[in-house]
Amino acid sequence: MHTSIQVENLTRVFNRRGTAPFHALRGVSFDVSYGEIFGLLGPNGAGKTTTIKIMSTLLLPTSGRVTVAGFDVEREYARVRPLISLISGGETSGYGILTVEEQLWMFSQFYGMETPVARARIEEYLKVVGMWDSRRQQMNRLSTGMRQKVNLVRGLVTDPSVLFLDEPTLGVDVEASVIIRRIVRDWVQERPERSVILTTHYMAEADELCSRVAIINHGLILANAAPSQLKQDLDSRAHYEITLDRFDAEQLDRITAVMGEGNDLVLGADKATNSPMLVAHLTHESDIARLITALAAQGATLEYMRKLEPTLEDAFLKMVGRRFEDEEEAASPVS
Amino acid sequence: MKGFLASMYVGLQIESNWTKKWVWLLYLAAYPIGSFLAVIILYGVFGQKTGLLPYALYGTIFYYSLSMVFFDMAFSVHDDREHYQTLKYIFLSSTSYRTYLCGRAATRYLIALAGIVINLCWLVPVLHLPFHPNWGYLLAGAFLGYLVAAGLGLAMASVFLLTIKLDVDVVDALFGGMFVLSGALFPPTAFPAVFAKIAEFVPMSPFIELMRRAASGQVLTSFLSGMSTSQLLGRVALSAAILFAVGSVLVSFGSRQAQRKGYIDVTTAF
Repeated sequence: MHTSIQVENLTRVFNRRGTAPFHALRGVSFDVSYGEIFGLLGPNGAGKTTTIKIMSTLLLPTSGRVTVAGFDVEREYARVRPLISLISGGETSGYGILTVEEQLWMFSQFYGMETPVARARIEEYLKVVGMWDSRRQQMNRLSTGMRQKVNLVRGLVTDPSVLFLDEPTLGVDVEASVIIRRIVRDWVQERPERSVILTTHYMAEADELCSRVAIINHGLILANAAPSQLKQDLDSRAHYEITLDRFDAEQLDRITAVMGEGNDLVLGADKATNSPMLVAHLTHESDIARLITALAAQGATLEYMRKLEPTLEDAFLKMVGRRFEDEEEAASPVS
Repeated sequence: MKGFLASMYVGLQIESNWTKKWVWLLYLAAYPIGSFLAVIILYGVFGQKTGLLPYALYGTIFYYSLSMVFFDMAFSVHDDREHYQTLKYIFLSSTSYRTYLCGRAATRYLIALAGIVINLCWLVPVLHLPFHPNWGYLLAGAFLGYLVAAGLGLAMASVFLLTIKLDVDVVDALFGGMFVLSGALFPPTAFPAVFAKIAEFVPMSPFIELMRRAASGQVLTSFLSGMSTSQLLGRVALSAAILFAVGSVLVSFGSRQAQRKGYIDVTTAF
């Protein structure tokens, strides 16, 4: 894999009359390889959209350098633009008076595509998103989810090398979100010379799609690694939730003694069934076998067990010291 | 070229797709009437003795063809940015924004010309307007008129790219000022000498006078009468080339500044 995007020490300051300059980006650096879905994860106002706007040539940086496919976005933007597509979520873009098909064809012409090629791709992608039957509907009659699917097709029809997705599932229903995520994943897997940069504040979306995630907050990159790595870095211990038919404090003491130091057991109750529930934090994953044997020896029957996986939300909490939502509340309106 | 044609298509759809085709054709014919009805009343009813009706009517009609274009281009910046939210996607495409605007201008200009042709069909016989067209001058003038309008439109679009709020008052003031100074409504020779001289250099003046002569077959007033029609054509060609070049440079500059300020995809409560 070679580098599709390189971002070096990027800063962006917004000067507004009557207010102090707003530093949206404060020295952001990362790179993205071809074949990769790279996520920029952060609360509203973190600097994700500013970064994507600069990468996609919509905005100039205050300082720093960005290259896309080797071209400088500030000086060689005319060479960058044919290679990229931008899809923004949470908006109702499009000429409402045009039909879906007309809208997509029109944008294909802005990229100089031959009409037969464009029409074939439009048909292919409209079928993929399940909107072929709606091709003659006017844009202003579509639901938000449908418009976002059309927006996605618009971005894909021109066959870009780099796809910028700015909150692509914002405001769309669950079904449309699932479809959009599947298409994005398949699109990158289809050809290794493609790459996707995704900004999202949905942790699960980044976790599901991205091979690497940069967590950004207040214009700074706090971490840049694979989601699994970020979660693993949180805590090396294994965590389990075990619901039992019966269990008491006395039995807990005995088992705690058996499990030894470093293994913590917390007794609670299952919220749904009110059965005793044991939360186990184990030093080694293999300790779960010893725990189950010990529980059986105490005469407790295991009703339900699940492994607790750390989430990116936990990673964010650890890095920032505040929950994602709390950061969003305090965020600036410029993101 | 594909981008240019696609933007012409968008322009046509925006203009016409809001209703049935026959209603739109009626609208096409009726819409310009508003702009020259006042002229007919002013010079055809109250100022009959002045004999300026043909001058003012042709002037107003051809001013209309230009003004429709450059105001439409200016407003399209706001429409695409705020209403359709497509401006950023147009910017990011392989088609330059200038080409896109020129495509939109071409549609608007052709629609305006169509409206003029339809209306001349009844204005000429009903009002006994002199009509001895020189088709060569008319066609050349119509083509150059597009460049004049597009050049002005590009210049105006560059300003609107850098303004977040749409200021209709400024547009109206500009519209009114140029209408008077271009000699569309009455001969600028009626002005004090200084203003009359300025009027000669208003970019639309030679175009309007050329089209007047090309349509009526006559020199209707003393305004620019010192120039032959071919000289006028040369003057229009020169001003079209300059205006289009200046407009192109300004829209490139405006685009770059909008990129710097982050105005390309800005949306407000407008």
